[in-house]
Amino acid sequence: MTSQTPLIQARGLGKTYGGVAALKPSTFDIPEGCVLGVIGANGAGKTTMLNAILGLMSYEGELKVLGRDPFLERAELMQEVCFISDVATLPKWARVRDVISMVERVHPKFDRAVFEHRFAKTKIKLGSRVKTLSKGMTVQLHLAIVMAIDAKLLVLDEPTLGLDIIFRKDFYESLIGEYFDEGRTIIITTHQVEEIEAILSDVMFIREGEIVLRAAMDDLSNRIAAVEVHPDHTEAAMALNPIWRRTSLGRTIFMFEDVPHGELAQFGEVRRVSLSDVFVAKMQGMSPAPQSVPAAPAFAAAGE
Amino acid sequence: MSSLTFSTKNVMTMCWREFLEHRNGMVTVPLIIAAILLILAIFAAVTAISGFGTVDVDGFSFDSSDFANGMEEWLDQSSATRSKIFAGLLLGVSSPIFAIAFVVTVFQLLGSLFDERSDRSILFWKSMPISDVETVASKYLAAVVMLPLVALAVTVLVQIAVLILMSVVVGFYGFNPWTIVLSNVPFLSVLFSSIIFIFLHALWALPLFAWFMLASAYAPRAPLLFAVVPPVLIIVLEGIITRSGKFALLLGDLVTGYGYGGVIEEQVGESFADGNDITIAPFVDFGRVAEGFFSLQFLIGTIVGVAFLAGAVYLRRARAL
Repeated sequence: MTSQTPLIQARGLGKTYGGVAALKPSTFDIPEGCVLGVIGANGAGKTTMLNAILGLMSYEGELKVLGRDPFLERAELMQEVCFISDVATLPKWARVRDVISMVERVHPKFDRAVFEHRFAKTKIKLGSRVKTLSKGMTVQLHLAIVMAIDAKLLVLDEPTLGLDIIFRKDFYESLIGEYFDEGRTIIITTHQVEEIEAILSDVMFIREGEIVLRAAMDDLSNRIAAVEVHPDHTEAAMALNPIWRRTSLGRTIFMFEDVPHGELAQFGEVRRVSLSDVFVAKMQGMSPAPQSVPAAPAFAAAGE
Repeated sequence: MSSLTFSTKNVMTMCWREFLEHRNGMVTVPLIIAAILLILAIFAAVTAISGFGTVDVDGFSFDSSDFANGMEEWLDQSSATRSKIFAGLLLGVSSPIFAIAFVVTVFQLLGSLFDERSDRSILFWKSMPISDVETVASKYLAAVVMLPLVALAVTVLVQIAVLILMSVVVGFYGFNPWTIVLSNVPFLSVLFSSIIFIFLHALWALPLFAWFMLASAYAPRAPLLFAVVPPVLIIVLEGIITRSGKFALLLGDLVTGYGYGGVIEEQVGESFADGNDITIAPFVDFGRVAEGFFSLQFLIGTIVGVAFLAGAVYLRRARAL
């Protein structure tokens, strides 16, 4: 695979369940070597998109993962692609050593030595049954298996759901510190934006089955910025099509996408926004639904 | 078509996986039945040694209180008759084990593609480079071929134990166990017949077994219900509309492996009828077996069975959960 060909190519990729679009036709590329965060509320279509990429369901439109049609060629694709979908999918009846031998037998890219190096750091016993392991241990085991597989693409769908903060931190640290390199691509979905913000190189927001943002993290602060607008200038600000507006304690803050910072500077100090701020803005749009209003995001001043 | 990837090595590994998962059904259950049979056999041996009761095997009976007389009568029988009686004894040991094994097979098939969805482990297996065809094939083979072969291994152990017990009893009364017991036992005939029967049954009952797998792949819950309700409806409707019960009879044939199972029973009789001595040939009329393979019923059954399995593959492929 040359670096010019994207790892994943989707053209009008969509999925409809009984007339309802779980994923509206979407066109996007995911290049090799990125850490992409797919972020959206529950039921937004994240898992639908990932299931299509992983060959777990049929879809409309065109989709190529590593040059293959995932639905028709899942077994071949899984030599190059690994995924952890949800926590605790390891077979509960099996003993730890059986799971490892089974993976070793069926997966040509599994490296026992790499696995054992990582497994030695856990407190998991080879003779234990998976069902007796705690949720955290199960995730550790699964991650140790996945990290010992020399895959080109790793997909993690809410991999740390329900785990406590120490496991979650450790999970992401080892993922980036010990596993990730330029030849690999990682896709992570979560609705806990803050937790993965630091490790992402790319981000994709999904809302109601639609991709509402696709950006490199380095680009994000250039493309999206916030500014406090004096009430006298509200009309001028509105003319620039803000993506989000919030008034609190008599101060009004607008967020803009793809508006040059120079133009925004006329209203006041341009502020950098965090990923979670952008997330909230993108999810609420200009007319926030009152029942799902979270606390107003804290803005960091530009340059911080 | 690459979605139909099939590697024998993967299927073997997945069969081993099935064995690990279903060790209880495959090994423990036949061992329990074997233990019960052994206890009965020991009880019979103790009864014989202590000189009480009557032993009655396939028309030949003697009062154990008059053991010596009984042994003389026994040796008066033709060796073919003695072999036939021992064949009956060995099959008598295997039938309860195989009957239970059949029930275990059915439940293993019903869980085969359902359990992995209900505990979500399908998401782990689908992350491995194993195709849906390989998965379905391994689960079918494990339940329909491997499981009865394990049951057969257990059966053989019980048969040997029973023969040893009988030899001990005979020896206890001062007779030669070889002439009375061991030299008359058509052990290999029964063994070969059983192996052949397992494979024939796997082919013959393909539509039945495949149906259970399809139900397992389809059922959103309670696969047993989804497997049982449609055939029961057909039987009821057939009864109401045509006042006949052909479908029920057909199902009965598939369960018992009639056509093959029947052949074996008849052949046990025939093998010894013409004064044949102890035999190692299986009690299978290969002419009739071949006839069965070329019958329209077998052809249709195979097509239907393969269609059910293809449906199971399709459902497993199309559903993440």
